[in-house]
Amino acid sequence: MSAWREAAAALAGRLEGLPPDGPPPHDLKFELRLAAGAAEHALPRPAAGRPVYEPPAGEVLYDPDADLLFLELGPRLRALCAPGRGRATVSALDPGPEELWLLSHPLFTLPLAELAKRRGLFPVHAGGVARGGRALLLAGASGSGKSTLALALLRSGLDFLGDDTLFLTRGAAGLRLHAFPDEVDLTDATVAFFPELHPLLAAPLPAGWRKRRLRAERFYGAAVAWECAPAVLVLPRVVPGSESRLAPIDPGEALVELVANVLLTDPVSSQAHLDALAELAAASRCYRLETGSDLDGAVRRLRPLLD
Amino acid sequence: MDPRTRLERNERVLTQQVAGTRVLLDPDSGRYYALDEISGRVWDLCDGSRDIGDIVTTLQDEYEAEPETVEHDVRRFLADMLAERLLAVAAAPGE
Repeated sequence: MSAWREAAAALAGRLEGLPPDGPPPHDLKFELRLAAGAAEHALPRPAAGRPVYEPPAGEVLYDPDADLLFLELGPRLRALCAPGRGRATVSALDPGPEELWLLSHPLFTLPLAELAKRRGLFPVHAGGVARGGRALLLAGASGSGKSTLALALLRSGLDFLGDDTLFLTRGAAGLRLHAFPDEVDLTDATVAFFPELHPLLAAPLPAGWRKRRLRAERFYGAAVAWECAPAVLVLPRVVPGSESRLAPIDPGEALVELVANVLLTDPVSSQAHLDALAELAAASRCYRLETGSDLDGAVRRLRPLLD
Repeated sequence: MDPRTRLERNERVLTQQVAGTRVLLDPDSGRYYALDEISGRVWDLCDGSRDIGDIVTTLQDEYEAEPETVEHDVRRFLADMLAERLLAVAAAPGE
């Protein structure tokens, strides 16, 4: 398969759960360029850019004068996003398998999050499940266990919003939460918790891919809760041992954990993003969850929160 | 710091409050801060119209603690906020 086809397939896999005639905004344009040489790969690095995010390798800069977000993730991958104009260009120089995940994930998700933020759709790094139009969010950084918990709750019969990124809007109906049912990326250690997923382990991982991909809502026959009201906010972390412990926390403490969601780009939309996160914390019952290896026990603690 | 010094908030700093916790996000440094209820109250009082002496007196009136302790804590907080450029010395009236 050509590099272009592989990149397109990776992105399509992420987005295929979204409805083709979904809600606005409809004015966003992503352009993917596969550059044949260095000259074609030359998306300009903004001279006045300041760091707004620290990726594991590379840099993410924002130039407030030009209103440009620039991403460079290694020598072969760059993106330039003009959030105000609704445009993002991604350039990949002869990408190999090891670049495909970066190309289809952070290089797409970071510009998408900024484009959405400018249009009043505020991203929150969280998984989510729902019942009866009320959502339970699992907010945290990578490695906090939110995908594992989202999957376990989905398996128990709850509706699905997503496992990694959701969006908030504020309007006449109050604060609303919007689903982004992305492909779920699972480590082999996570798959091991779910016997019904063990067949996934039989297939070799595609080159460059570190995790197994699953359309979780399809696998478990779950409905997608496209829009609902936030009700419960859980901040999970993985702990040794089997037992899980759930403890209520002050919503102010939850807000402190949520502020890292705000990319410090333009001041107006960044303040609006912070306002939405504060409203989320204030509108939710907030908890910390120490997640042990007994996932069914964790589910037994979380499910009643939506009663 | 002279007790007659007036301080004002850096307008570029993003801020929000839930329950007793106020968060500050500084776009210039990329850092964020969490203030407890008392520090958040001092932050709110730094509006450019009050001097440090006024702020200390207000806090001494509002909280049951030794006046010297309150003054020490307020001054240390203000010095930290100035060092982080989250607060600045306000121009004198007429300047």
